[in-house]
Amino acid sequence: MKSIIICFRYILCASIFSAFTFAQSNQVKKQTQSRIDSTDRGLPNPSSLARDSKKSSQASGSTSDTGAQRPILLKKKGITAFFSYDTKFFYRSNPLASSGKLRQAETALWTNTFAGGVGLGVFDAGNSVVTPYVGGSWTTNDFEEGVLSKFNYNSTNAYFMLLSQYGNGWSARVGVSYSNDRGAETDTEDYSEIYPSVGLMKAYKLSDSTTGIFSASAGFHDSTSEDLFGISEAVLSNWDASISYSLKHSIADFTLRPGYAITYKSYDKSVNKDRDDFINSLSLKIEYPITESFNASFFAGYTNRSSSGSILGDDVNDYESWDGGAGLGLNARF
Amino acid sequence: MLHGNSSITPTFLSGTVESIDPNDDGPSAINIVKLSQPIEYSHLVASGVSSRCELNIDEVIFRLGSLTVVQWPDKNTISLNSGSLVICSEKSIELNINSRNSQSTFKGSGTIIIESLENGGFKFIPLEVKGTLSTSKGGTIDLTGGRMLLILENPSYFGDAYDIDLMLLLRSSMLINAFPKPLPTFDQIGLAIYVQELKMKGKYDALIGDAPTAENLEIWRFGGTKD
Repeated sequence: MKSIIICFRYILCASIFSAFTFAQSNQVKKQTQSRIDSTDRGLPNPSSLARDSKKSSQASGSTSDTGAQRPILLKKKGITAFFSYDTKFFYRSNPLASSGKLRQAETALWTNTFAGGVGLGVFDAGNSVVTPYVGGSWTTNDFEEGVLSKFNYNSTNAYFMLLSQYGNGWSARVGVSYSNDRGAETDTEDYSEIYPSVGLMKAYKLSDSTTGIFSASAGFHDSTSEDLFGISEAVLSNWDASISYSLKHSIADFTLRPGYAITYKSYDKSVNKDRDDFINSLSLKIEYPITESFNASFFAGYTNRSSSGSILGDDVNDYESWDGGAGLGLNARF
Repeated sequence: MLHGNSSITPTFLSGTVESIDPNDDGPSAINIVKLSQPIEYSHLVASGVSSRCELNIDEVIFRLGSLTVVQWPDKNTISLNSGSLVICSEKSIELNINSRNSQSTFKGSGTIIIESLENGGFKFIPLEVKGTLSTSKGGTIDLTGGRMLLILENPSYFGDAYDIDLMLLLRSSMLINAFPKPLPTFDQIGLAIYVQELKMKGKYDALIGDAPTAENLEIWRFGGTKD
């Protein structure tokens, strides 16, 4: 009898421990999925692919009405390769994008991104110039708060994009990207998606030192992630549409980039079947060029997500988060 | 070709611009150019120091820079004696472009700066262009935005070609900046600058000057040393 009781107690303890471990594991998975759900993914911003037009008017030299004639060297075919590395160290108030008690899990984050790509030529299309791009990136994301280190992850991205620049300042892009998150400790794939999208952008001068940039994009995140609810691995798949407006303002050698974006996401799978999100983002970045290829930056941002329609409850996906930190970046074009 | 009863009509004047009848010896040969008063073909048009004007012939825009002397012998020919000018046409035209010593024929559309040279030839600088340029000895070549050509001697041939920094040229050119209305081809010029930026490999620390002879072209290194 005594042995049966001991055995039963052992089984009970094992069951409780197993249930606890399962719950912890499931909680981690939910938190991972919540973190994934808040990650902004998309095609690279065309303005970051174009060479920054430098102030080349220092050498005027000419007294003729024609203007200064400075010889330049051009590539014959217009095929360009570019590479960048940036490292950022920043505070994030809500790294797991959680509402409720876990929004207190603030941390510092350290990210390192290696990116590269190729512009596959410059093609005259009459009233526009078309440039195809292929590229990719790899990012390490390390949470500095010890408890959160199990959420460290690496992201991989690859894309193909057609960029069309018009003479009136508008540009249009269509492309597809593949993204993938893998847990750094487990080396398991937490998330992957294929994201076809289209976008428009217009940059225009507000003054000699300020450029306004309007951007709009839409696409579909065809995703695969852990099926926590036993319904569908595409639980995080969604249609999204985004509008943003930012300024690029030069003061001495500094460039200030304040911006605002609003994104609408519509989910249609699993527990997110009727879920709609509105995400507001405010950002400010200050860049300083240390050399032509090497720059330092300081940035701050605020993100607020308002979600409704999820079977799990309207407020469960609401969150807000503050970011703030510094970074160094290296850019090269060939 | 420039068709119809095309007249040379001034649409902008700054400073002193005169028209001169080459067949008249007396004081009546020289007249001050006035806005909207057509100028006779074969009359010389001359701008003074820091004086500029814009003329319209059959929807083709001509901008004359400071100290420029130009003549239209007929509707399809322009002769640049000295100075610099802009030719801007959104439609396809055929235009004979001559200087004191050299001749060429342009076919196409675009925005082009012409600058006379000391040696009697001229620089042909297309900002944005779709067309060709022909000379009697050099044949016909396709034109590229931002690629400057030298047209030299008689019979005329093409000298060396240079890709030049369009953004710097536009920022420093009085032919572009000293006129109140932007050229109608600014969108296309913007695209030409964009293409140049995408293809940019490097910039020389030098500026191209005048050509005193057919064999010598002045190249000014930054710092003012002449080569």
